Amino acid sequence: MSHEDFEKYQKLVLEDLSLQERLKTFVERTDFISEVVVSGAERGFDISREDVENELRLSRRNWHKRWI
Amino acid sequence: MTAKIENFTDWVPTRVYWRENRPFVDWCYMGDNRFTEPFFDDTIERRFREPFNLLFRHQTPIEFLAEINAHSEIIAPTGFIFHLSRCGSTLISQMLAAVESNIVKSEPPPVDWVLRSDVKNPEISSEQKIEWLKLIIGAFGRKRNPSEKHLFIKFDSWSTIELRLIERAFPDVPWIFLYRNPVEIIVSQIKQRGAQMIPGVVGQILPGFSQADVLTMQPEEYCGRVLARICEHALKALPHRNGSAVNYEQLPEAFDAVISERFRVDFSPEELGQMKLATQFNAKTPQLNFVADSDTKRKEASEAARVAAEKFVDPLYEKLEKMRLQS
Repeated sequence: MSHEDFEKYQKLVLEDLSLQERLKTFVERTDFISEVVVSGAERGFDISREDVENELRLSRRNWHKRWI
Repeated sequence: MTAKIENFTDWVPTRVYWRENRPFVDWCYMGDNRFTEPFFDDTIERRFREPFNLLFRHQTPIEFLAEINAHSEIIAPTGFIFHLSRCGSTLISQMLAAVESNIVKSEPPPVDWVLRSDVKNPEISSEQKIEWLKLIIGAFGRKRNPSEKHLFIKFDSWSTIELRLIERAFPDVPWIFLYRNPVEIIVSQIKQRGAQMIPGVVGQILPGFSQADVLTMQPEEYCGRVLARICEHALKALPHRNGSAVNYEQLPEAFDAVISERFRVDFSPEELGQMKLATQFNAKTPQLNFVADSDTKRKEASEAARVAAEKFVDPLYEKLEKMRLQS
C-alpha cells in the first residue's frame, strides 16, 4: 500500500472516535499491528503488516528529525 | 478546516512545523497522562512507546488552535520560569509537576518554535509571534483533568532573550529568572553541553559574530558569551513588578517563601510535602538522589572556565545579585 493510501486510513481513524478507542487498547506492538490490518480490511483498505511497520518506522524517524 | 473539536479532547500540541508555507501543529493523544517527566519531549517520547500514539497524530494549521481554545476551559498561565541553565529550573519544574493541580510544560518545543520562527523567516513580525504564542500557551492550558488549577511554563534558557516579547503577550503573568555562579554553569556545560552551547544549533545566538567566528571560539568563551547574553536580557527586564531574580543557592528552601509567593499560589501543606519529596531526587535523572554540587563544580573548573566566567559573566552575575538583595 502506498504512503498516500495509508494516510487516508489514518485520516479515517482520526475522525472515528470508536475506532480510536478500539485501537488504543492494543499497547503491545504485534497485537496493535494485527488490529490495524483487520480494522483496515473492514473498511476496504488492503494494509499489510509490513505497511504498518514501515509507517511506524517513518513516524519514529520524523519525530527524531524534529531538531534537524 | 473540517476537524471536529471533540476529536481533540485529551490531545496536546507537540510540535510546530512549516507545511505548504504555513505553520502546522502536530498533536499527540495524552489520555489522562500528565506531563511529569523533566522535559516536555520526555513525556511525548514516553507516549510514543504506545504504537497508537506514534501512528495516529492530528495535524492542523496553527490557526485551528483559536477554535479549539475558544471551545475549551482554559487555565491562564500562573507563572513563567526563565533561567540561565543548570541552575535549578528543572528542580523547580519537577517540584511543581509533583502536584496534580499543576500543569507544567518544561521547555516545550512548540514555544521555542514560535519564539525563533523569525530566524528562518524574517518576515514574521513580533505581533505574529505574540499571536501564535498565545495560541500555543492557551492550548497548553486546556483543562483535561478536574483537579488542574495552575499552568506553569518553563522556557528554554535562550528564550530569556525574548522575555520582553513574552511579557507583551502575557503582561500579568508573574515570572522568575533563575541564575547561578557562572563558573559552575560553564563547568557543567563543558561536561555536557546544552543545545544553546553548541554553535549554530539554536541559530545565531551571539549577534555580531559570524558562523566562522563562533566555530573557532574556545568552548568556554562561547559558553561565557551565551550566558552573558541571557543575563543581559534578564537584567533589561529587571526589576519588574511581575519578575523576581532567584539564585540557585536559595533552592530548594526558598521555594515556599520566594516562588510560591511570586506566583501567588497558596499551596496546601500536603502539596508542599509532595513538592519537598521531589527535591530529594536529581531533577533531570529522578532515579538518582539530588546532591548540591557547587563546591565540586568550582573545584573542577579549568583555567579557561574561570577566565570566561570572570571576563564575560561575573559582572552581570554581580548585578543580578545586587538587584535580588535590594528587592
